[in-house]
Amino acid sequence: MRPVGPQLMARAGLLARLRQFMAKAGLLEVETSLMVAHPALEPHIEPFAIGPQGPYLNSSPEYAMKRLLAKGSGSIYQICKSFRKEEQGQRHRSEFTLLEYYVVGADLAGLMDFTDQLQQTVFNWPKAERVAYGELFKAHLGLDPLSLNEAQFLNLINKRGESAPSFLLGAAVSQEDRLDFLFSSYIEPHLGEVSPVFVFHYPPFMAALARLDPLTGQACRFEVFYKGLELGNGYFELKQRAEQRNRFDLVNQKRLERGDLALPLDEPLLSALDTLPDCAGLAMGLDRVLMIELGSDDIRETLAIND
Amino acid sequence: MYNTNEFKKGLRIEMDGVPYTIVENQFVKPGKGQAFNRVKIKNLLNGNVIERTLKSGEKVDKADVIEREMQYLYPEGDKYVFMDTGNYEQTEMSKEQLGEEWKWLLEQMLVQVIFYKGQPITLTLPNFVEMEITYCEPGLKGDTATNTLKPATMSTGAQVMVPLFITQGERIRVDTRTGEYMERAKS
Repeated sequence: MRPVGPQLMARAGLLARLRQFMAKAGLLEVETSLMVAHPALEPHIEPFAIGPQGPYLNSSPEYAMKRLLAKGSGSIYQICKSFRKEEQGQRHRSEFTLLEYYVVGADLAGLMDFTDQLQQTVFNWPKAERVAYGELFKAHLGLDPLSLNEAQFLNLINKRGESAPSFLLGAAVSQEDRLDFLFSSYIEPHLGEVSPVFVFHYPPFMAALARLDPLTGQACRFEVFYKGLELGNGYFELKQRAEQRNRFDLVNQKRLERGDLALPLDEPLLSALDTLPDCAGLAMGLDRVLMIELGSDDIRETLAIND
Repeated sequence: MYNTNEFKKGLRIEMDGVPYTIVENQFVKPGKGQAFNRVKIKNLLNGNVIERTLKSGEKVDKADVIEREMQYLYPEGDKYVFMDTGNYEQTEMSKEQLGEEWKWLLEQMLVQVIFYKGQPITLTLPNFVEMEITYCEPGLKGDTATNTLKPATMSTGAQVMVPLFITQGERIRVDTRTGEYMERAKS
């Protein structure tokens, strides 16, 4: 175990430089509640419920921050704790520190430019490379993620002398789950050995809260990878209330089919989408940024106290 | 049953009717995706290590495995006889079940015998044992180099590479996990 000094200094320095950068860039620091009535509605993120009907510990400040944007806050950022149940490992903690920011008037390319600038200035990282999700699958695995079928999936894993996990076989398994497995097993470990990588243009069924590109139909979403770590996730934000409600309903349907509880829809957020300005936003795990700075492969080594 | 989030090194689980011990456990979760556990597990019956991927939150059976402290008594034919130090119950194990461990078994030695469904399947030795050299080439007096080695035969029949200055009849300390010479026995 490392002595107590380096990670305390690294974290304090990172936060100070971040706030300085954001102030210069004209983003307002905000603080929203950690205890919320509506948790983020995701197929694979479990919020901690405080009572049987909520409230919940927030798993991301996204919904509250979008309501501020809709009220005319202008570009904003927040550094806060987020909580996700059952996430524990060398790169995961159920409680972690998230940086989340929204740039009003930016589209996906604009958000990538802003994020690259931030990474170079605040984290001292090299300039990021940009590569499309589909291109990565072609380059690393020789297949098209949109048309991947179960036979290809099996074949790919067997060719590596491994056996496909049984929970990813069968007609009920979603394309998304198989792609996520292939990505995190065979692509992510190789991403960003030299410089950070922005992976953009996710398949439309992985859009979450991002709008779809009217030309290609792909999600206006990108993720940040560096040193084989997934660090951030950004969207050119969807503003269509009906479309967002549809996607939320689909998520709840998936959760119910799996035997998980449906989560309450955030009606105030859905109403706010009507007045949301064009904006793009990104969430980044700061503990993992510190892992890179400290050269550590265990997230617990970035914490002040680690019991 | 164990949930995958209780997984840790050394936990004993049963899958497809085979008892395993967890050697390595890695939690993987794409930000928005399904979490899974990639585990390396060691088959307690034959020692083979395999890799498995389980969906996080999945439950697996506990292996019906217990460990008992036993004393090694004596060989009987190609069997080895052990006695429970608590209730004096005796158990036999075959050479096959012992794998390579027979090399370091000395009479009176205390070992951990692992039972699966009531049957002994394997044992854990102390990490270090002291034993006598029954044969080796004569020592070279004054040669204190420790990087040149020669073979020596132990009282159990095991072969250990020892430094040149060690002589027949001496007692040495051996690491049972690697089979390597450590030092001259102190006593």
